[in-house]
Amino acid sequence: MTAPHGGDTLTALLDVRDLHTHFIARDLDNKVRTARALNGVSFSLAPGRILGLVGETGAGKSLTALSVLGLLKPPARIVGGQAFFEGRDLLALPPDELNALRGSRIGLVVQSPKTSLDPLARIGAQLVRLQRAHRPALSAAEAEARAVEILASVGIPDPQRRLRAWPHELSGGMAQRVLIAMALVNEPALLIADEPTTGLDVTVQAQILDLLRAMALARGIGAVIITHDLGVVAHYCDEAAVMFAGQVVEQGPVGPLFARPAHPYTRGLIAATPERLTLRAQRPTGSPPNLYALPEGCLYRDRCPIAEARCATPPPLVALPEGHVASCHFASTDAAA
Amino acid sequence: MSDLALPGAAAAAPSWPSRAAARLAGISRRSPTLAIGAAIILGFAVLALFATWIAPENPVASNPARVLQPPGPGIWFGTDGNGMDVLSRVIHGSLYAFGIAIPVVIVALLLGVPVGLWTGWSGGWPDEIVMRGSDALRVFPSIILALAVVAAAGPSLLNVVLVLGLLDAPIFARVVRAEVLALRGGTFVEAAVAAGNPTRRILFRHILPNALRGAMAQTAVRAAWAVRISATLAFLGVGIQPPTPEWGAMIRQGAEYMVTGEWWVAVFPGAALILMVLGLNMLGDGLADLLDPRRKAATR
Amino acid sequence: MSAATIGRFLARRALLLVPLLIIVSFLCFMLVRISGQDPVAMLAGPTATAAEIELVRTSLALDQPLWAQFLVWLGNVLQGDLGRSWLSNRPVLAELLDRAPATLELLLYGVGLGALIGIPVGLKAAQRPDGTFDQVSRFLSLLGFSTPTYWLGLVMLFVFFYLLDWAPPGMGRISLMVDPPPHITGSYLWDSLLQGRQEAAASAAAQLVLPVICIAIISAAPIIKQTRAIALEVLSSDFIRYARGQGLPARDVRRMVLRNSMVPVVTFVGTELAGLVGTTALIEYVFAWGGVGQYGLTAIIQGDFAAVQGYVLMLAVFSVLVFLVVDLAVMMLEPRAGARA
Repeated sequence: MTAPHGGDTLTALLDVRDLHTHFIARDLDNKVRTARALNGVSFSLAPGRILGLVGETGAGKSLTALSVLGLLKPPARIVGGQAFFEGRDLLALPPDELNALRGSRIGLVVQSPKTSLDPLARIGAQLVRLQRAHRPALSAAEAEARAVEILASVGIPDPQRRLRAWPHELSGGMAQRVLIAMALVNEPALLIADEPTTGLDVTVQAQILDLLRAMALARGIGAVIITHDLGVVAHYCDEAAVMFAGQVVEQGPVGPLFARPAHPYTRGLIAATPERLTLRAQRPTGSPPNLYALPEGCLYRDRCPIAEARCATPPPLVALPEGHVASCHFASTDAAA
Repeated sequence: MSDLALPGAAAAAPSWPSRAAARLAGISRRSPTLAIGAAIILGFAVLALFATWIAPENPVASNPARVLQPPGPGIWFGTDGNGMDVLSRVIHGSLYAFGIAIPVVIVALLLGVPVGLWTGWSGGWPDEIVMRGSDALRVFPSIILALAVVAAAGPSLLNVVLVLGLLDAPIFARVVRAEVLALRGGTFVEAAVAAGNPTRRILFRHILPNALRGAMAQTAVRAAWAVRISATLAFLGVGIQPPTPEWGAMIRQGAEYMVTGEWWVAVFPGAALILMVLGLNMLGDGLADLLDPRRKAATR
Repeated sequence: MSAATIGRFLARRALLLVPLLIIVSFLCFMLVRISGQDPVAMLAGPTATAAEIELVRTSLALDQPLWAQFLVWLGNVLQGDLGRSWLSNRPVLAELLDRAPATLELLLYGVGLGALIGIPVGLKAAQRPDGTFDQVSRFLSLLGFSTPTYWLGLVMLFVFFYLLDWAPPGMGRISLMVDPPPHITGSYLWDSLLQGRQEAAASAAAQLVLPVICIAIISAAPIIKQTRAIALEVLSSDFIRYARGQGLPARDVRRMVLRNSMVPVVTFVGTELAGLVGTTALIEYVFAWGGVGQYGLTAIIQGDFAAVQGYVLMLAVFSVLVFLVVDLAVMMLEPRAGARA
C-alpha cells in the first residue's frame, strides 16, 4: 500500500503516502502498549479539487489531518510516511517552517468554532494577528481593511461592526464563517476542513458547505473536507477517499465511486445510508478492529461479507477506470458485477 | 476435595507474590509520588507501633543533669529544657500523629459519608441547607475555625478529635454527594430502580461502594490536614500540653531556644512533622492520580 | 464597561452575600454556646465583677429564646458593638480596627510576593509537564504545603537572626529603639516614608522581611500547583490547538495562554488571600507582630471570647469582601462575565 492513489507528486497539491501514526503509552502494569491508529494512509489531491475524506468515527480522518499538519501531541507519534505539499514533504520539514505554512499556505477550519476562537480577543484583532503573524510587513490598517473584506466575502453582514465583536457574541454558524474567513485570509493553496458542520443546525450546515465549496472554487484552491457524512461527500466534493481502520481503502472521483463502489466496506457504507444521507444512524455491522492487536492482511476481513482465505494477505491496490482505486482482493472482479 | 484442590493451589502460590511484586513495581514506576509517600507513612507506622522498643529512652524522663545538650553520640537529637531525649520524644510523637489523624478521618467519614449520601440522593431542602452551611464554613480559615471551636468547646484531646472530624466532614460529604449525583442519573441505578429494588438497597448496594471510592482518595490528604492542624493547636498550647511528646507541643517548648541557639529542640520535631505531612500528601496525590488518571493530565 | 454596569453587578453580588453573612454571623454567635457553659461567664471572663456580668447578661437578652438572642446580638454587631475584651477592657471593634493595617500589610506583601513567585513557576512547569522543572517545582510545592508556618518562622529567626545576624529579632513591627511614626495609613513603613523618616522606614522594612518571606513561601505552594493546573487546561483547549493550526508564532501562543490563564489564577489567588489569614496569624504570633492575627490567637488561647467572636466575624467579613473584589476583577478581565452579570 505504498503507491500513491491517483495523481503524482509533480501535479498533486497534497500527496500523502503510506502515513503511519501510532499512540504509544504505558499501561497500569507499565507495559508499553501501541495503538496503531493510522496504518498506511495514502491519498492525493489535485489543485482546485475538493476531496471528501470519509469514514466512521475512529477511522483516523482527523488524525490524518493532524499528522499532516504537524499538530500531533504525545502519545501520538508519526512512525512513517510522507506528505508532499507543493513538492515539499511536510513530515520532514523543521517545525518552524511547517508552522510558517500553517495558516498561510494551508488554511484550517475545525469543528466547534465557538470554542476555537480566542475568547479574550475581538474578531478583528484575531484576523489582524493572524495576517501579521505570517506577513510582518503588513501594516495594522492594511490588515484591518483586509479583515473587513474577507468577512464580507464569507457572507457576514456589517463586517465593519463585526470586527469589534467578541467570540461569545457569535452564533455557531457565524463563528464558523469567521473560521472560514480566518482560513482564507492569507490566501492559502490548500484548505483543510475537519468536520466543519458538526454541532450546527441543519440549515446552517448546508450554508456553510455551500460557502466552503464556493470559496474553494472561486480561488482555485484544493480542499480536504473531513466528514462522516456520505451525503456531504456526494453533494459538495469532487473526489472521495474512504477510510477504515487507519487506511484509505478506496479513492476516486465521486461519480464513479458512488456508482461502482469497488470495496465491500464502501458498498456497506452506501447501502447502510438511507438515501445516501448520513452515516450516523446506521453503520455497516460490527465494530472497527482493535487497534492494539490488528489482524494480518486485510483489516476489514473480520467484518467483510465476502472474505476468503486469501484476505489474510495484504490486499493489492487495484486501479479501476477513471482514476478510481481500491485496495481489495476482489476489486477488479467485483467492480464489474 | 482438598486433595484435588491442593496441587492447583501449590502451583498458584509461588506466582502470586511475584505477580503482586510486579504490580507494585509497575505502580511505583507509574507514580513514584505514591510509592515514596507510602514508604514514608509505613516508616512512621513502624516507629509508632514499636516506639517503646525503638526509642532509646523514656520520652518523658527528665534529667536535670543534662539540660539542653546539643546532638552528639548517644543523644543524636540532643536534649530539651527538661533534659529529656529529643530523639525518643520525636519517635513517640508519631504515635500521637496517627492517634489523632486516624480518629479524625474516621469521625469525618462517619459524619460526612451518610450526610453526602442522604443529601445527594434526596436533594431538595436538606441538600440546600447542608451545602449552604458548608459554604459558610469555607469563609473561615480552617486553622482559626478549628482553634476557636476547640477553645470554646474545651481543649481536651477528645474535643480536638471531634472538632477536627466535624470540620473535615463537609469535604467528604461534598465528594460523596457529587458521586451520588453523578451515579443517580446513571443507567445501572435506573435499572435497579426499574427492577423494583428498595431505595435503601440501591443506596447501600449500588451507590455507596462507588461513592466511597471518591471519599477514600481524599483520606490521606485529610489525614495530612488533621496532623498539621492538631500540631498547630498543640503549638499554641490548646489541646495537648507539654511534656507530652507531641510534635507541635515540642516545637512550642523549643520556640524560645531558637533565638538563643538551641535549635535542636524545635527543629527535629518540626522536621518529623513535615516528613509525615509530606508523606500523607504524596500518598494522597498519588492515590488521586491512580484512581482517576484523567486528572493527572488536566489538574493537580 | 460603564459605571452603571459595575454598580448593578456589585449590588447583585452584595445581595447574594446577605444570606451567607447571616449564616456566618449565626455560626459566630453560636461559638460561645457550644461548650455548654454559661455564655455570660465566657464572654465576661474570669476577672469580671458582678456589675460587669450583669451588663453582659442584659446585653444578651438571655431570658428570650435563642433566635431572639441572636437577633439582639446581630443588632449589636450591626451597630458596631462587638462587646468588650476582658483582657484589655476595651471595645473589641476598636482593638481590631487598630491592629488591622499591620495584618493587612503583612498579608498583602506576603501573598503578593507568593503570587510573583508562584505564577511564573506554575506557568513554566506547565510548559513541559513531567519535565525536570515540573517535577522539582511540584516537589517544592508539596514541601511548602507540608511545612508548618510557625516552624518555618522559627527556623527563619534562628538562621537569619541568631546565626547570620542579617535580620532583626522577631519583636514586632519596628525596632524598640525607634519611635513609631504618627498614624496616617497604619503601616509603619508607609507612614515613615510619607513623613521622610528614613530610620524608622528602614527599621519597619527590616522587620517586615522575614515574616513576608515566610508567608510568600507558604502561599506560593498552592499558587504553583493551581497555576500549573490552569495553564495545562488552557494549553489543551480548542483555541490553543486552533492557534497552533493557524501557525501563530510561539510567542503569540504563549501570550494567549498567559492571558487566558489569568482569570482563573486571579480568582484563585483571591481565595488564597482570604484563606491565608490563618497562616498570617501564626506568623504574627511567632514574630510578635501585634496585628489582628496575634490578637485573635491570644484571645483564643486566653479564652477572651468576646474578642474571639469579633475576630472570627471580622475574618468572615474580610473573606466575603475579598471574594467581591475578585468577582469585580474577573469582570474587568473577562468579556464574557460582563454579559452574564
